Amino acid sequence: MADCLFTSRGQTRAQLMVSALKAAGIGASTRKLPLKLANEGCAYGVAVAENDRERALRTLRLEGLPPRRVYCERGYDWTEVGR
Amino acid sequence: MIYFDSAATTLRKPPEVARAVMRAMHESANAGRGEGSSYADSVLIDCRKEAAALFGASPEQVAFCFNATHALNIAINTLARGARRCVISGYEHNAVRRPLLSLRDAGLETAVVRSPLFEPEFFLYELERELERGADFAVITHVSNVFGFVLPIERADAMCAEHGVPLIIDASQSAGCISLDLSKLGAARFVAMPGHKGLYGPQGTGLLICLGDAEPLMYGGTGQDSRSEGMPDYLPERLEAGTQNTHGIAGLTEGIRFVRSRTPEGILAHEQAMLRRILRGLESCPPIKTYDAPHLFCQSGVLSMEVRGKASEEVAEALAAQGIATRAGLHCAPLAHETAGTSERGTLRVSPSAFSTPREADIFCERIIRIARN
Repeated sequence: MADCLFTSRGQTRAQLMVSALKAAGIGASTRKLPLKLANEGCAYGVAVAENDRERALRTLRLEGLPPRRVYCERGYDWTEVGR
Repeated sequence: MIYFDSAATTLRKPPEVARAVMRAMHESANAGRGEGSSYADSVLIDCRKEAAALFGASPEQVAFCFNATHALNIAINTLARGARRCVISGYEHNAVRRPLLSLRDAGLETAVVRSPLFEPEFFLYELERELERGADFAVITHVSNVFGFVLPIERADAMCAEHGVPLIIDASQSAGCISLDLSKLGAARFVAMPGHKGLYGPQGTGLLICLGDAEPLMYGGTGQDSRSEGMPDYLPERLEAGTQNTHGIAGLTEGIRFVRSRTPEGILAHEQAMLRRILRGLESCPPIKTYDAPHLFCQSGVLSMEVRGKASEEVAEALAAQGIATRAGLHCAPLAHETAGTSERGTLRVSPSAFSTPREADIFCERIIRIARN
């Protein structure tokens, strides 16, 4: 269940983030972000399960691909939980 | 047909290239534009990764272009902003010369480094002299498309780095047959290349590897940052307005995989072996003058020649009538001919590929000798 979104600076970066996560054994996929999370209009990010969030963040920072922002689903909305 | 015009485009491709194009035509929607685009998205990222691995770059530094000319125009227009003086080699193609000359009225001076054919030390000496006179950027081809002269690009890069001059490398003739590790270069800011020559991809594909910021040549939709009035401020999306040639890029990925599996060194060794065979075959025919390097390391798999008393176009036509494709004339590189002293008559160019065979080389020799003696 993908319930966290890592925003990225572009689709290519999002794809590289997914590759890095998959290489580390973490399930992830690119996702077009809900418009309310994309100030500049259409944007891409990476969806991961909340259980994998911390490990995924560590992996991405290690790979030099940190997300811009981190959102998790809370109720029916997305809440920013970190950067 | 015996195809010896691979410096223009490689005609024979690995079969995987056409298969990948066909699959993409059936399965590829518009990358980054909707829910059905995941296959197209994977095509683009796969190609970026393959190209990055071949050149020691990162996938985000790999921007898709329509051809090398497109890539060179982006690179030149980026570095020409505010520039007063640019230094180029005497072996540049019109894809470099014309964009630079178009900026002459805007105040850009282009200084040409004149040096004899197959004299890399001479070239470096003259390059140093031009750099000492001051330059805002330099453009140097890695390999002359006319003569196959391999310019000493790593040493030229180091020289540019010493003078603080950013460098654009035109890798149109070297990509796929001469390794270039961008992580070891100091001044290189851009490397431009076509996808359809030594990378064995389809026509309509090209790559620009950006080792720094780049300014877009075209503006438009990118599938992201849509509210922003400008192009995205990050690469590669900043340079990629509009729908990409996903079908062609799918084929290019397979072309690059082919190159990586054979290795550029392996492909170059094969092409050079073809040239040596041709040179041996033509030894006994004095009316044919070949432009071959005294040292193997400074000539790629491209060979120019002249047949005494005959125009190169006439020879190429006679060969074509016998099913042999070569290229005659100035090869869109009048500057290279001017530098080498062949601009009066042009030359006949022979350029085999990874798929050329010794038998084809022998047939070529036999036919051109017959033409020369008639």
